[in-house]
Amino acid sequence: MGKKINPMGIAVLVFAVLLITLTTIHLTGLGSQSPNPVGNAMQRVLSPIESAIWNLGDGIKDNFRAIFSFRTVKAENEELRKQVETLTGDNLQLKQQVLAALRYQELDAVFQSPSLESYEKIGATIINRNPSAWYQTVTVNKGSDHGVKVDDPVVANLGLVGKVISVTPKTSDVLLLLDGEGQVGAFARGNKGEAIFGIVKGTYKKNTRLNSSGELEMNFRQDDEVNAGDLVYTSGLGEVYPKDISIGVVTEIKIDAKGLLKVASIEPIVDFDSLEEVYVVSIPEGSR
Amino acid sequence: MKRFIVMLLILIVCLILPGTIFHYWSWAGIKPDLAMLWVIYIALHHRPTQGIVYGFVIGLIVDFYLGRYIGLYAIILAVVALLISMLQQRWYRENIPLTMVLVFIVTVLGQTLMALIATTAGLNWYLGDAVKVILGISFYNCLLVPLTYPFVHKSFTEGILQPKKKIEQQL
Repeated sequence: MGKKINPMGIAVLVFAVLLITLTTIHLTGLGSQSPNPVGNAMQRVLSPIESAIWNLGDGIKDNFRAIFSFRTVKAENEELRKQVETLTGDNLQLKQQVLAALRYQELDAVFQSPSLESYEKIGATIINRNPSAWYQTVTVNKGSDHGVKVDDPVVANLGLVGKVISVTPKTSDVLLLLDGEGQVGAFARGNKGEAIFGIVKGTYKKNTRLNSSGELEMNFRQDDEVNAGDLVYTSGLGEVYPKDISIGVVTEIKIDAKGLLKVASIEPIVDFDSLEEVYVVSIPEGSR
Repeated sequence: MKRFIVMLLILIVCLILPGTIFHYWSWAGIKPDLAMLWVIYIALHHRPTQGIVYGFVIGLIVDFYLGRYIGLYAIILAVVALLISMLQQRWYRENIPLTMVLVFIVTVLGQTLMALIATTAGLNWYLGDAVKVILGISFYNCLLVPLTYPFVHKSFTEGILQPKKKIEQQL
């Protein structure tokens, strides 16, 4: 004889479980800093395996690419040679500008702008990507043992990648700019050199399956003079990212549906898909 | 006991692969939701209540692993298991094309729920982009069925994942 099922009891149980779960979802959102010992333990055990697979995958990808796309690699090589010539010319011009910039930096020190150069950087390798297509985070192989803290900005050689959202002793999770919650205070440098402030946030606009680079979005006022080709940098406002880290280039500007704002699409300078190494910028406690 | 360990090991593989190997095989950032696929397979071979409990517990493990919005996957995978148990009464478990359709439908529903709850909780997604991701994940999951389901089904019916006899009789 089976046990009698009390429908009321089941309803209460389901309701209680739902209520508790919805509360924990709410409490454990981004920036909540809620402890996650189970997740941290899993991360500690699984990160060596993830790291090994990742290294193997990179090795296979690099070698196969060279073998199977020999023609592309050759064309790419020629293209790069041409670029080297152009860049050498540009470099000379830039050197002159660097001299001018050095003078500017002397002045800048007076205003104590928190620029990237003044902080220590910790080199880290990406060992895992988020298994869910909904979250845009990566795991890197440096953690609190190496001095990484939550909210530390993460950069690559060319520009901003994101920020640290959770830390274990040996690994940390980095929220990419592409994530739906990866907003960053920024400004676009207009053609007259003026800064136009706004907020850059992640979208998920990938036009074709071949174009694997995600795009960012930034809102401006109707009368702001933003043009395609303008560079976008961090503004240093919001107390997470230092000022003047490059984010991307404005590719397209549209008027939003209500006609109040200009919405600019921004192509990030960093190629998030092929990112392998990053730097965690260690910002000393109390200086935010 | 051995059965649970194998199920847990498969879950861990399901968590590691999308972040590593499937990153190289992703289409515009879209990769399969293997944890959801695994819960669908488990629910197909268990009674509704057991399936829902498995879905909830597996979802909780996934949530801890992801470390964000803990409880989100738990609810969604429990609902996925519930949907499977409702649908599978009219479905042939042995038929692979039908199972593919089932996986597609349930993944679409599960991922839609995921997008809705995540958006309410604070994740920013545009409707059009979310639809693209939902359909992409569902299609990817559905494509993996012919490659994985025959082994999983065999294992659940006569192999290491086979439920105990007593449970079998109640079925």
